[in-house]
Amino acid sequence: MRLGVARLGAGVAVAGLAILVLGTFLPWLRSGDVLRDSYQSVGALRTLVEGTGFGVLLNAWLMVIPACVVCVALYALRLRRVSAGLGVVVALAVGVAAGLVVAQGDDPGALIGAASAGPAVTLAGATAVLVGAIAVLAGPRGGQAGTRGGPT
Amino acid sequence: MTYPGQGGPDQNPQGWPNQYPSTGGWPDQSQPAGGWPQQPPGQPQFPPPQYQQPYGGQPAQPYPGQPYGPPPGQPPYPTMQYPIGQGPYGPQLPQPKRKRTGLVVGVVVAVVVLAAGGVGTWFAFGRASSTGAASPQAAATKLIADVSNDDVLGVVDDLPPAESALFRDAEQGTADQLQRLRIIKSNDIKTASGAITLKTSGIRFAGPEQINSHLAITNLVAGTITLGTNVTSNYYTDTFLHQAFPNGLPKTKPQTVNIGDAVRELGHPVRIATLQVDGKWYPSLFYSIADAGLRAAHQSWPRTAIPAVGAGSADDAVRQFVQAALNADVRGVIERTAPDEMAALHDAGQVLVDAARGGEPSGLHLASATFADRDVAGGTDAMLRSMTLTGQGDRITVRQSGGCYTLNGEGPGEHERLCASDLTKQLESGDTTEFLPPQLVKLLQDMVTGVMNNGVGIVATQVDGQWYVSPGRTFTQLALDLYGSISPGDFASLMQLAQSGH
Repeated sequence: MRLGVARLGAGVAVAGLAILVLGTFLPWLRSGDVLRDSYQSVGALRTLVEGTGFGVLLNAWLMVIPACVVCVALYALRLRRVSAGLGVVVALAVGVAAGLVVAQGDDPGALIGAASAGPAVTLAGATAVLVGAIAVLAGPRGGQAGTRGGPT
Repeated sequence: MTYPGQGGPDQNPQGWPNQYPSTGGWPDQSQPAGGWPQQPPGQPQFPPPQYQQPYGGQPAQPYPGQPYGPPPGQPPYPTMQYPIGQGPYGPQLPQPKRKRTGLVVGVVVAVVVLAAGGVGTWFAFGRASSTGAASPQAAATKLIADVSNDDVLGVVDDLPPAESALFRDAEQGTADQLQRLRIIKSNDIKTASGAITLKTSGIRFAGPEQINSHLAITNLVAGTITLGTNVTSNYYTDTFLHQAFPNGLPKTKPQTVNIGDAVRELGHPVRIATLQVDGKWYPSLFYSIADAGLRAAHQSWPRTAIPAVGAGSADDAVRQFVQAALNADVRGVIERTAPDEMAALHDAGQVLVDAARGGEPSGLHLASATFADRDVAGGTDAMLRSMTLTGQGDRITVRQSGGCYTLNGEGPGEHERLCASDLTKQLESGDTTEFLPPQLVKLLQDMVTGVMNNGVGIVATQVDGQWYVSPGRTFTQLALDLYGSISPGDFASLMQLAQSGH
C-alpha cells in the first residue's frame, strides 16, 4: 500500500515539476501592454533592484529549472528520498514566490503590474510537487520501496 | 518514471557482486543485493541461503565498510571448496543472466533530463539577460516599440547600462520627493502611470551610419507617432489633480505626427544614436543629444576620444575636477568625468576642447579642500565644507558651517559671512516683494535655506576602481535637494499661484 502511494506520489511530483517549469514560462509581469515570463521579469526587474537583497533573490530564480531537473535525475538514479527532499525545498521556495505574486493580483490601471497566469500555474505545479514528494518520503524506505543505494 | 528496484530485471546497480569474490567468499550467487523478496517474477526462485550469509535477508543495506567479509569472530568463508559448477547444495542451477536494464534506463533518463534541463536553463538565462539588440537598427526599433507599448521596464533596459542606471537612480529619488509633496500617491514604480501615451506605426529606418566601432546613427525616415495624455487619479493624488486641473481632467485629442513630414521639414532623417556595449547595441539618449549638438554646430564626430583620468577617492576626483575648471582646462574637466555615463562627452569632447581653445585660466590654485561625503544613489556626494584658494598673491578660505558660508582673506577686514537667514531677509525686502508674489518668495526662501544648510556637493562615481565626477548625478542630486527644501504647503501655494494666473 505504502509502496503504491510512493509510486503515485513520484508520478504526481514529476508531473508537478513539469507544470511548475511550464508556469515559469507563462506571463508573470505586465509592463504597459507587454507581458513577460518569469525569466524576462527577472531580467527586467534586476536592473531596478541591482545591489539589493531582492536582486540576489531574483538571480536565485534562475536556478529553478536546474533544481527541478536535478530532482528528476536523482529519482531516476534511485536516490528517491534525496530527490523528494529536494523537491519539497523547491516546491516551498517556488510556491511561496508564486503565491506572493498571485496575491498581488492584476492591476490593469498600473503601468507595471503582476500577471497571474504564470504564477498561478507555477503555484499549482509546486503544490503537486509538494504533495508528491511528501508521499515519496512517507513511502517505504530502501528495499521495501525497491530502492537501494539512496540515503534513507 | 520507473521504479527500477521494484521487480525490474536489474537488481544490482552498484556492482556489488564484483566486489564479492574479493572477500574470499562466494564467487557469484547471482542473488540480488536487495534480498530475495525482490526477486523479479519469472526469474528462477533461489531460496535464501541458510549458511552464514552476512547480507542475505537484509534488503537495501547500505553495506558500510566491508560488508561481505565474515562477521568478527567467525571463520572466513572457504574458497573453492565445491566442484566447479556446484554449490554447497549440490549442482548449481543455470546462472540467471543479470540484467541491468533498470540501471541503464535510469541513467539514460537522468542524462536526458539533465540535458533537457541544461537547454532550458540556457534558454531561461538568455531571456533573463535580453538587454540590448543585435544591430543598431534593431536597438532603435525596440526602443520605439517599447515606448509605443508603454513598456517602462523595456525602455529602462533599452538604454545603455550606465545611462539606464543613471535614470533609474534619478527616478527613485524623484518619486520619493513627488510622494512627499503629495503629487503622486505612491513612490512604488508598480503604481506608476504614464501621463503621456505614445503609439507608433509604420516605423521605418534608413541604413545606419557607422561613426566608429561602437557608435552608429540610425535614421528614422517614415512612420507615424500618435501622442496622447493619460492623467489618472490612479497615480496622482486628488489634491494635485484638483489643483492642476480645477475644471476636471483634460480631454485632449491625440495628436499624430507624420515622421515623413518631419523629415522633410528638418531636411534630414530623425537621428537616433546607438551605442555598442559588450557586443550589444543600445539606443543612447546622451549620444543622440551629442549628435544633434554636433550637427547643429556643423561638426562631425571626432576621430579620437578624450581618455578618462580617474582618481583614488571621490574627494580627489572632485578636487582635480575643480582645479581643471579653475584652469579653464576643458580637456582636463572632461577627463575627470565618468567614462561610462559620460561616454558621449568623452567621444565628442575634442570638439569642445577645440572650441574652448584660448580660454583664460583663472590663475587660482585649489590649495586645499575638505568635504563631508554622503552616500547617494550610484555614488558619493562630496559636500564642500572648506576650501582654500591661492593666486596672484592672495589666499582665500571659504568655510561652510551651520547654514552659513564664511569667506576669509589674508588682508585686514577681508572677512565676510553669508547665512541662509541673510538671504531670506533679502528676499523679504521690498525690492523683491514688489515683483514676486509672496508664495514664490516663500518658496525661494525655503529653497535657499535648504541649500545653505545642506551645502553644495559634487557627486563622484566609481568605475573600475577609479573615481570620476558624474555631472548627471550631480545635477540630479542638486534637484532632489531643492525638491527636499520645498514643503507640500509651498507646492500647493505654487499651484494656486499658477491657477490664479499671476
